[in-house]
Amino acid sequence: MRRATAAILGTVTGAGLLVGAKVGNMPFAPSGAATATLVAGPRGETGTASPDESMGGSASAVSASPRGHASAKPAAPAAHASAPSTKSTSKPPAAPTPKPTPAGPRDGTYKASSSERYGTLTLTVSISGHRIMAITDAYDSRSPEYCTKACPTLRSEALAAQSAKIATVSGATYTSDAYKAALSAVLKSAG
Amino acid sequence: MSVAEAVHRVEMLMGTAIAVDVAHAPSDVDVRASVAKAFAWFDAVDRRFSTYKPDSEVCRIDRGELRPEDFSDDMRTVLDASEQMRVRTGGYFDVYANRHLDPSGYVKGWSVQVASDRLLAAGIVNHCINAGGDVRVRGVSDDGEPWRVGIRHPWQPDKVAWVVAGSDLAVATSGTYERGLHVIDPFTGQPASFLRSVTVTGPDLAVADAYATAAVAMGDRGLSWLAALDGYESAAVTERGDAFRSDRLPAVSVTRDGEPASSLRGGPGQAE
Repeated sequence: MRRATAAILGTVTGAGLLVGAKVGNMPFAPSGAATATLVAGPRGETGTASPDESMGGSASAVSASPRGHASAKPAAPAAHASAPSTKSTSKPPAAPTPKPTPAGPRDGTYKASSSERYGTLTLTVSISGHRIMAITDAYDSRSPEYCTKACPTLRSEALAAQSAKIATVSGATYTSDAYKAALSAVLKSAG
Repeated sequence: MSVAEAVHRVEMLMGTAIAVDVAHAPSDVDVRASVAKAFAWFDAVDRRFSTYKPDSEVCRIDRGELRPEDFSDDMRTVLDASEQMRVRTGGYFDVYANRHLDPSGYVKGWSVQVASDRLLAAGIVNHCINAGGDVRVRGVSDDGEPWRVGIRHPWQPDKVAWVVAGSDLAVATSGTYERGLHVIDPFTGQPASFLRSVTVTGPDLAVADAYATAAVAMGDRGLSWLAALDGYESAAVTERGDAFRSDRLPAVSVTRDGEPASSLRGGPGQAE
């Protein structure tokens, strides 16, 4: 979840003409392209911006290998590439003369959703004064049982990777190589 | 109290590594002889239940060469218990999941549980047996504390995701992260992929192992099923890196010499 958040955040901020977000260490990746949408522009534009104006078009934030070892692509290039055209179409006719692009994200509230296998994550990012002021996320799981039943009893927590003092290791370790790796974990703990 | 020296012995049997550790045994107990008996037991189990040895009892039954009345007592015990597990898991633990008789998902945990019971009966209270990642501990380890069992991180082989501790505890893990290791959903015949690693702890290793395997086979329904287990605790990691654990999992916070252990947040991206 937290990594998906990072991926979509990259898309949102990328679409907002920010620099590319550094997205790393993805356990999985959105299968569908995340799309960032400006839902409320800065004060001067709010009255004229229609709700479905798209700022970023389809900005794919990440690519995933089948095994889930995702390599993250910067979101910025795609967003930058599509920005000029979307900018011209989304700008209201009566808009003032364009100013030089500021060195930060454009003000407004952006929404981006990312669909992946088990649900859809939606991020809402508020930008003011070219700075991110607030981020909210909402996860809509396609598999209701995934959390409605399990989470009250099974506690969700961050996956840790520890080197701990242990006597032995439990794992799905059938091969001698896996045994050696497990043994190495034990030896490290003893060292 | 005089104590015999600690014994640590590892052998490759049943297609995996089996380790027996004994700590703090009374000096009047022949620990080495008892450990040797344990390995003789594992060897006998391997010969009887192997799916790779054509003359094993399992292979002969699978080929229809043995009538039920000619099955050995151990075979009856295992097949009866496996059938109970099939019912208790809604059919997801099935020794016929891959169309051929393969009770190894029950046999490994069961054989370790039997060996542990026999060591205890021989007066060897403080021991730890690990058969290919299925663990049964009793008593205390060398440092006089309950045995600490790491649960392997599903992407980083030399790291652990949790540490559980106990003085009378079974810890079984099933997963899909080893190369060539599949858990088949018996209802689809396809390998399950939602849960990358499931660990179940409790009193009986055979039951814990069967539960863990069944949960992996269930896929996304496995989490809610694990949550409803009575008497057995669980820890699971999904293929996308989400971690779940039951509240009563006997997990210990990882500290070493009073220092917080390194708790790098690991995910698949850091693997290999």
